[in-house]
Amino acid sequence: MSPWATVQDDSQLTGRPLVVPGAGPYGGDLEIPEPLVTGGKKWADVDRDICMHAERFPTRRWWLAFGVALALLGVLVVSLAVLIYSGMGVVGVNHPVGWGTFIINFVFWIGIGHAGTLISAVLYLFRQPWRTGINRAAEAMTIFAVACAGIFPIIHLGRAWFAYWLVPYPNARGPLWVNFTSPLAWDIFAISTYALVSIAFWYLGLLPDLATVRDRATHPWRRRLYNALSFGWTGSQRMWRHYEAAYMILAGLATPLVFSVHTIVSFDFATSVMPGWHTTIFPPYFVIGAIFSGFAMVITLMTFMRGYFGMKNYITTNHMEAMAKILMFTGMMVGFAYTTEFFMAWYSGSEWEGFVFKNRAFGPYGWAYAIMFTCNAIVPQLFWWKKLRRHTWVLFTVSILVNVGMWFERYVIVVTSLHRDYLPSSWGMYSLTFWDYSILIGSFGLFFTLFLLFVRVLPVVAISEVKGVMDPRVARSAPTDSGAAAVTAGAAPGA
Amino acid sequence: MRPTDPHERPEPTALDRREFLRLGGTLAAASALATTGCQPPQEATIPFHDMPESLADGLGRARFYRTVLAGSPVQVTTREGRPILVAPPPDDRSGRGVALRHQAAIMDLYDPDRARHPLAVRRGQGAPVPASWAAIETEAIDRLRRAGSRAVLLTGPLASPGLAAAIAALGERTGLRHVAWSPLAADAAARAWEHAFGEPRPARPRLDRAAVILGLGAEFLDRPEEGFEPEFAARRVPDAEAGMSRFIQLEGRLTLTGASADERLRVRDSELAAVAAGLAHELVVGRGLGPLAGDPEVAAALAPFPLATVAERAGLDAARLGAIADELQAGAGRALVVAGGSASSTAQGPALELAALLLNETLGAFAAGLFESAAAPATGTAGALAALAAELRDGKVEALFIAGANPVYDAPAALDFATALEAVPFVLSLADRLDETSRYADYLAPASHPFECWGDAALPRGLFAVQQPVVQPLHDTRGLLDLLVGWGAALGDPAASAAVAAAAAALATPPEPAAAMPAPSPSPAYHYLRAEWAARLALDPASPAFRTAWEETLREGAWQGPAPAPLPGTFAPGAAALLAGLPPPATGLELQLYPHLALGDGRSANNGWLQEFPDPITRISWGGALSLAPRRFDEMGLANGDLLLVDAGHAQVVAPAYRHAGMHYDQVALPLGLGRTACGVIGNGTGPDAWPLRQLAGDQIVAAGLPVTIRRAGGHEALAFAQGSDVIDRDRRPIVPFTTRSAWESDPRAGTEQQEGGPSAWPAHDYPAERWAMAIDLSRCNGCGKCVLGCQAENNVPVVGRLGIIEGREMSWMRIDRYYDAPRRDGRWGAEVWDGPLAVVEEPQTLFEPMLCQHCANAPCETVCPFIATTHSADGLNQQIYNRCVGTRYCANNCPFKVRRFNFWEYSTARESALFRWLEPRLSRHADLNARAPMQMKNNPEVTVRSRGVMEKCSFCIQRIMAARAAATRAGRSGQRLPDGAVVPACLEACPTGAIVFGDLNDPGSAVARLAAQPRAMRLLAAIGVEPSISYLTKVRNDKA
Repeated sequence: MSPWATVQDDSQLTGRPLVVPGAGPYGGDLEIPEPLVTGGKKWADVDRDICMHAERFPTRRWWLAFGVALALLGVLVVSLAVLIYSGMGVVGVNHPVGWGTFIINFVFWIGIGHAGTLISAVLYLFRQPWRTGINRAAEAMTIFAVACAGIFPIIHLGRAWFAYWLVPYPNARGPLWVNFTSPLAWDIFAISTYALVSIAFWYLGLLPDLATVRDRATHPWRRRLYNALSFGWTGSQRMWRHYEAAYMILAGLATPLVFSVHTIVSFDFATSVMPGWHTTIFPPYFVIGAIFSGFAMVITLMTFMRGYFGMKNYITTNHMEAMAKILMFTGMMVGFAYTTEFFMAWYSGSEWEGFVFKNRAFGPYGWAYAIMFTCNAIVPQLFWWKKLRRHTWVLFTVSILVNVGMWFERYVIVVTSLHRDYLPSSWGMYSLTFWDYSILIGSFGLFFTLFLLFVRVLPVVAISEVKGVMDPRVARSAPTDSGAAAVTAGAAPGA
Repeated sequence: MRPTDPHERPEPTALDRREFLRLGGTLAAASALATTGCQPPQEATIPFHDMPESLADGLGRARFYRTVLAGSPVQVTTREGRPILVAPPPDDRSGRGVALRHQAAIMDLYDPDRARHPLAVRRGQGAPVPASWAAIETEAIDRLRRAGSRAVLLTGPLASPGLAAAIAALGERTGLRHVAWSPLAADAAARAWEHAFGEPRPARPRLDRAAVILGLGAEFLDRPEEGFEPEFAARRVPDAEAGMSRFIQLEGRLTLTGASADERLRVRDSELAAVAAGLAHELVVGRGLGPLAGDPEVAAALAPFPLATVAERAGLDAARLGAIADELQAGAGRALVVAGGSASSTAQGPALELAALLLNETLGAFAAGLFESAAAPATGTAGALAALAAELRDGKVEALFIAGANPVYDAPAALDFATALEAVPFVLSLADRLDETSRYADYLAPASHPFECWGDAALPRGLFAVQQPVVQPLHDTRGLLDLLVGWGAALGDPAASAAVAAAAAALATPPEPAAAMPAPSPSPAYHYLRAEWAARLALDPASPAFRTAWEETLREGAWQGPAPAPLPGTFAPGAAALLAGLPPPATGLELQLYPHLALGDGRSANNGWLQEFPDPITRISWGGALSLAPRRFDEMGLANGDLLLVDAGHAQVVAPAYRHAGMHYDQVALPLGLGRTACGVIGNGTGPDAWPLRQLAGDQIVAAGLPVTIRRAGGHEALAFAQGSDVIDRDRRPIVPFTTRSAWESDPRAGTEQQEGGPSAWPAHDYPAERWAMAIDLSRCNGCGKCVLGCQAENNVPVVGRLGIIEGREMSWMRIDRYYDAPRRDGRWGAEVWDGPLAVVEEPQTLFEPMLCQHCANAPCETVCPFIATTHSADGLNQQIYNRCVGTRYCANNCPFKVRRFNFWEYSTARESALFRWLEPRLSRHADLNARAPMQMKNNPEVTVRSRGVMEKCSFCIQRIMAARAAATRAGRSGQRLPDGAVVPACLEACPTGAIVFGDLNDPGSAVARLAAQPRAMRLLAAIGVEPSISYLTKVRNDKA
């Protein structure tokens, strides 16, 4: 039996391994980590616990959340109608601040979208078993965040109806080609690639689980639907072999994307001549900031999933702690980037650069800089304390604050660099209008609408992968509850 | 319609081609005949500055007409019969200049709020109802006949001899009396001249002949219509042939003129006369200089003003004043003293002007020819208006005809003109709209715009110009001269009768189609004027000689008449007694009311271009503010826009506060010409109405030196600033080349120092033929901003409105950056983010820098546009392709000069559905400002009207480059380089000082290439390697006394 058989509940986890002195292979201590799935779950339990949410009529709480999200989505739709009918003048952008919340939101959402791929691809390649509890939801989050992000470059155009001109394809407009020296053209490739690979990766991971849902389905149409979605997954050994190989290849493909997308997004700024934008630190700084904000969003979402969807046995406090550690680490890196920028501004000897950074921190938008610095570089320092890392509310609050801070990071980058640049005569201020707020809030409506639909129709935890990290000694036995489903075709390989 | 299939038969009802053409032709002819009957009859004018004398090929080509507008010669460009641009005529020698108001006259012409047909206003009893010209004329003639000398014609200032003759003739016939009223007329100078020389005819200072200019509140650059700018600018460059002039200005408010000063002392308006007298005392009494030295009368008058006393009372450093006296003395014979401007409208105005004359006499300025005689200005006096108001109130006037005056708005409040009008049985207003005064009239006779009717003008240097119409009247309106000639004919005036008969005959003669000669004009004013001019030229009006002379005048714009009488005799020493009445120095705050730089007296307040024009000094558009000295402003803890109550005792006005650099501590200032209530939807209620603060003292209007108190009125009104920060720290941001003359003499590159950039990673562009470039001489530029308006008119730049400016959505392709130079500091990184510490803005050094697209060789905008909507042309232009632009605004972000303008709204069309008007009221406002008929007629057909969502910016007037190239091709010179000067961008065309030079940089002989190679030339932001095509030439301050 597993030494952890007694851990019945997430709350019994300590985050520390069991140390058996002298039991190690070379006579040293043997550290046995805590289990990734608690509650003494059997494989069959996993199917039931995770598919359950997609199989029953939605709860009142879900309807409430979905109603709110849908209302916010409505706000987005109305706001976009007003924006596109009336003109860009309804939002706050002006001369000299030609980019405003749309670009801020774009970078913000793209940043959020980074954690999913990082968790599923990079952590997969690094054999981090704890990723299994969260990767499905994190990948879904990535896709929805990219969807949200994708709106903004289009609507921020003065003539959004011509956005398709950005796609280089042979056309009858001249042909009108795109300018390959423009980072905005690079964005198109970077983001579309990222979105496609993320979706493919996510969907590939879904295949065995969709088959599980199919096998559990009682209604014939439901069975047919999920069968089609799972591409007729049978769970044969051969299939698993191909699946694993494909998954590995996609993970390999997705890994550079984690770094390339935000690198290219940062080029939007870094290749310009604006002091405060034109810095070589931007690519790593943006990537690490994206991972930082993505993990914060994952923590936010996982807190909900643990609380409202009863996933505490699959997304345990240990998972949360691991993410808290990443958050603190990336937070420190972000803080290091902030400081480096200042150092470089001084060290470069450029008056323009020096002024912009001084103005950033102490100018009229100093408050935004303070929010950014506090939330991103200081608040995550709480996670030096293990107790706080494992405390739900602290984690949740910090994750929200980090996302606020990361939104303001982009605000600071976009606004403060533009509002006071080379010629003092054209200095100006930027403020948000009603429609700026409504579109920002509305984008959350889109995100949560998609996410809530996701948790209703798809397995929110990667069933097959979780099964793979469970202790077979515990999981092999019969389900804990009576009437449990049989171990299905989606069961863990090699079990 | 010929059936191709032999089996197919033509439709029996179908017309064949010949029949169709026959019928169609008849119909077209019939409808043409019918419509000509309804329209004002066709009339032809002689236009064509440089055009063939045929009207046949009118389409697709610009025509240029010389005419005169409000006393200034202008050149009007028309396209397809529509005037679209007003510019100064080339080689103008009239001694008048083109002001912003003249440039913006296009917008007045197409103002949708103009009265379009006669109205029975019925004194505001109920809504005005349409009336007919016949009814108005019948009643007016009847009234004229009956009222005799109890009829009065009230006009604005009259510069037209033809009009004056018609009025005089009418007066002779009926006894009609004429009163002229110009609210901004400064008669202090005329008074001083009358005292000193016995004739109220001030001469014109020749700033190009003076080496030292002392300004005593001078505002010669604030009033461009007076035409001083080119002469002043001629000697502002350090390498000027005649030597650089030195300009010392004493003033209370930092004016546009004072901003160009080499040395500037703050003296409150009410003390200026004393300071001038002090300088005179020093020179005449103290140093015994000039012909007046030793004159007992002068000595007695100057006795109370020893320099030390004066310096003390004005709070000045006596040594500094003494130094000025030294400079004047040293420059005797080359030194000129100019008083005037708003400072002369104090109660001590005549004394100030006289002191200036005394100084000029002492310095020998008259003898040295630093003044040229000028025709007497046409102005009206406040005394005459006051007398008229009294008569009106006493019921001594039976019929009042008001033409081109708006006394209810701008007369001194004490006259209470509105009430006075009630006592008059018949009031007819000839105005272009139902303005403040017309509301109290019986009838509104809609006036034609000067572009729509005939007239003439006498210009200062003895030139006479004809005001020729450049467009047919847009509405059912008439010109004043037409009206008066018609009345004269009805009342039996022979000259007027002859003119009307000739006009009737012209109407009866059908115009010959495509005749080489224009058809005779049906305008009575035209025939009247011709007769007048025939007399002036001493030619028979029917003779070919006269015809040639007349056409020549129309082509050239003016005819040189006899030169004005020479300067009046010698200075009468007794005149110095005017100085005796100077009051002791005032304590407390005093107010200066100055004419708004763009709007003037406010008659064009419904003009979006003028309202939106940012004041060059305050940078405020759409309104005005109470200017306070920075120190007082800070002491009161104010913020720009906080509302203050200005209490002058007799009147109170609430105005937003503004921290005005260079203001005297004890002086505040407020612009006139704002706060109209009945000018139209664009200008109504814009800014505070300061007219009531003016005071009538005897027959003189006091508009400066008014004792006032100010206090917070509570509330805040955002000011529409067209600029960000005021202050530039050139040691950190070396983007305005500026130096002093002594530094320039030791190093001609002084002031252009900046960090150089590294090598470029981009391959250099190849410019096989021309490379267009510009040079802007900041030493010549005085910041007047006429380039901005010229650009706006030429390039169809929309008006964005007050909110648009506040939100930062200005569209102007060109702007004049105005900076106050911060003293150099040691060290780097040290400066806070500031908007003007006291040390900088109390004694500001003003720097103007016209800013427009720099057409960089390495343009940062070009690389970042994903749609390739902005590209580099083979001749060096940074081009913007509107159709390709989708509006990422990346180019604007990446523009280090921030000259790119994004269309945040669709300004050019009225997009209003009920829902969105409710949701977005700005859409309605934009329609009011840009898109209401007939405003679209102002658009230049050569320039695309941009839609929303696209970026735009200065194109170096590419349409003019193309036109020049096309002309060269037509002339058989295709493939050759365009000669220098062949392309004149609109900004250059509008610039009165020659500060802007445009041409081909690849042509080593071109003016621009020579300037760009000068050591004074600086191309901005070398550190980032954008390589602009515009060179700025150092502004040099003449610090050499």
